[in-house]
Amino acid sequence: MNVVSTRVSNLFTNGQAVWIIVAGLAVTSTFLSDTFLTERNIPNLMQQTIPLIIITVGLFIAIIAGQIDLSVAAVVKLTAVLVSGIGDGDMGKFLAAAALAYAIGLTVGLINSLLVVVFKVPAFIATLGMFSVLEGLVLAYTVKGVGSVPIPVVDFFYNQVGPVPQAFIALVLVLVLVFFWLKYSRLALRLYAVGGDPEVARRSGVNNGPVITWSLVICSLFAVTAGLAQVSRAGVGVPSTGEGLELLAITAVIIGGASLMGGRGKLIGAIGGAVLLALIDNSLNMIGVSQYSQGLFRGGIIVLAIALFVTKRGSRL
Amino acid sequence: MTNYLLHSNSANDRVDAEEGGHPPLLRMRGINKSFVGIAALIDVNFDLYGGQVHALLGQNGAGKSTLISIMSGALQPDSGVIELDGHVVAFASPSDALKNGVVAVYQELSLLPDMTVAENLFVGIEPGWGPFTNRAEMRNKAREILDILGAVGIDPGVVVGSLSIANQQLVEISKSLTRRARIVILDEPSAVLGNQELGLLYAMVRKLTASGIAVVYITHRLDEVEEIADVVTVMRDGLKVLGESQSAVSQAMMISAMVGRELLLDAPPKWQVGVSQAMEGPSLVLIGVELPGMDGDTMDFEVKSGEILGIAGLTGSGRSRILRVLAGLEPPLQGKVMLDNQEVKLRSPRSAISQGIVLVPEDRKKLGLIMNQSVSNNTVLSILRRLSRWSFVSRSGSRRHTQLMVDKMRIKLASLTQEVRYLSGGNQQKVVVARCLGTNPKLLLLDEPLRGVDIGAKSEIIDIIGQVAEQGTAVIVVSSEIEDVLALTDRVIVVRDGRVVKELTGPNATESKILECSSVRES
Repeated sequence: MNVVSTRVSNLFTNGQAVWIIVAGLAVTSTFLSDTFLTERNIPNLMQQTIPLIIITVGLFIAIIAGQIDLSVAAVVKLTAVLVSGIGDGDMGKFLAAAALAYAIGLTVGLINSLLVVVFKVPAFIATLGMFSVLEGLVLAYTVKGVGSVPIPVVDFFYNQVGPVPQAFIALVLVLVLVFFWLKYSRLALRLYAVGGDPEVARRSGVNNGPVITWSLVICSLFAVTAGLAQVSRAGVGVPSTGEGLELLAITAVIIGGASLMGGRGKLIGAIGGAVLLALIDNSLNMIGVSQYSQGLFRGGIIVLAIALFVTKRGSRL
Repeated sequence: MTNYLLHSNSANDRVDAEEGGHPPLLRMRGINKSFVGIAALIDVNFDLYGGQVHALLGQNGAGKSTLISIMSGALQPDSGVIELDGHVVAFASPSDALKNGVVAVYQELSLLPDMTVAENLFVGIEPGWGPFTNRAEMRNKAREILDILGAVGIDPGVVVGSLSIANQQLVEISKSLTRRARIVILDEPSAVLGNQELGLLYAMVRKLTASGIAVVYITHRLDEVEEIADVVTVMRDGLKVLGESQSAVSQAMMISAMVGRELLLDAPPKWQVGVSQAMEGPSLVLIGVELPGMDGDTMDFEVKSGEILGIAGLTGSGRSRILRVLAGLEPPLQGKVMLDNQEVKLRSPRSAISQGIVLVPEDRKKLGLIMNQSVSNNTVLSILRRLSRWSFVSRSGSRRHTQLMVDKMRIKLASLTQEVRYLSGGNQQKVVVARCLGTNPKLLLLDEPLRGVDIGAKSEIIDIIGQVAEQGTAVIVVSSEIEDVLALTDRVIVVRDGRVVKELTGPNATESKILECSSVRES
């Protein structure tokens, strides 16, 4: 019994359990719906998933280092309205605005980590404050949809190579780089160490401050990228862009088997979590569950998945 | 500054004279350290030579931990000189000491449980190029170090959290090698090990010394000293009372050095409760209780109602474990527990309390009290049901009960609603005892009841425990301070490796006798 439960909980922490659920749900949806496995829906599903996966990767890195970033959704929103508003359909302006957005993302990450590392504010509070500030900035800039995204950018997002959207291919390439980085970089190893036990890391010769700073800056930059993906998909930046994405991404990281306390987790699991969340919404739509009862199913599936795989022994969230 | 030569005592001098030849790796001279006016170290000299195992002995509070904390940079001395290789050094922090090659391996291991053995060995000093690590090199180097130290059974690719405590300790010692350690301090490494693992540990220590590393080895087990040590230092009451090469000391000498009272400086006064009268019939009887992780040894003993039984033994001997079993915190592997001639099943603390067994835990701040809640809330926590009607807790009832307990135990506080974290250690301890007594126990278990308690409160707590016993409650006291056990109890049993090895009563129960029984493993 213990052997079984340990093995099951290993599946969870290895990030494999969530993919089993993804596969199960995909098969179920294929049987229950004529429209799920179609040339129209699959590319659409991939496009839907892109922003969430990007933001999840960023949050995964912050969470591994024992941090959390609640400001990511606001960064997505700010990026969306800025590149759409400033760019207003012009490629040159769009690129300049994108560069500005990355500069802002960098600044946000640096301020977050300044609060956390120097002023010892818990990341939860610091980034919650940052979230409010950025929301305020967005609403000061615009309260409705503004400008547009240049056609070539939107095309890049939607054009397909076979059944796969170009943007999805780009995402996969980035993910491969991130995998490589997580496995072989010194910084990544130290992220796990600092998140696992800051005192042990410090005594082992790790300088914790820069490690935490990197984790929050990287997280913010991924949030900017997610914002670009989101606005390209929508075509126009509106202040409601990205609403609630931070909670979805945190959920994705957790059902992917990472510890919310830091120091443990696999990227493949977090990505699986993001895919699962997008898949649940898409499947419920395709199966024809009413919009109003979708929340019930979504919540039910998530809670069941975690209850099934997190056993008392060996796992902590 | 104090001139150490004028103040040094005879034990300090002896080592000076003995090792006249080559210079020591680490030389500590005239180290003083006190905490809020209480001297923890008085003018201590300590020399450490490369390639030697230096055993550090002494009872709790003798100053061993303070000494190694200073050695490893966790504390700074009030005065005194530390020289490393003949150069004066001052370690500002543990990482500072680490840079100078001083590594301390504590009982609470400092490893990252979710990371692999190889990652743990090299975190912070990862081999590689630029921003990248070389995983293969890391694994190979880890393998090499583990092999050198004889830990051939440990796979460097495995996650540390999945290893046994013993193996984790071996990893921790291996880690010191990757940090270019020249001095390795081992704080009671044998406390968590079984007999087989002990052999591995000794082999590892010998490998360390063979490569020229100096090892400071803290232990309570005298047989270990003969097995592994080259030099022995015994501390008592902040003084170094013995410093000799191992071959020149006997176990008897070490025991009398640890216990001896010829240097009564600030020795606390001794109390003795009037020996209470054991009442009719046994209250609690243990029959063949096997504690988890004790290799099949079992424990049998009994406590009569109205009696105070002391349990003495070293860390890891099972002395606290048995209390946890009786309090329903962990199940015994086998055996029966009888209370008033009836077998009791102890499934949880709640079931233990309802059957009349309650524990005053060792760590009151974590396990005994809810620190940021009021004295009143803490006092009534175990008897909420009794104080409630229709599932609402009676405020006047709990106030009355708390006031009664506060008066009875003379708890000093500003008001009943004061948060317990603002109370002194002694008064906090009284609140824990008050909470436990509220359940009207048949058997009261006390784990380290006098730890971190000031002298005044100490005697009051001793009085209270005496009164509790007089009213017919059976009491079991566990303490690492043999003196406390003697002050509190009528009868002492000594435990080792999960079984009772000796029972001592009256004049036979002396500090040195208890120390001898608990620290010498018979062959």
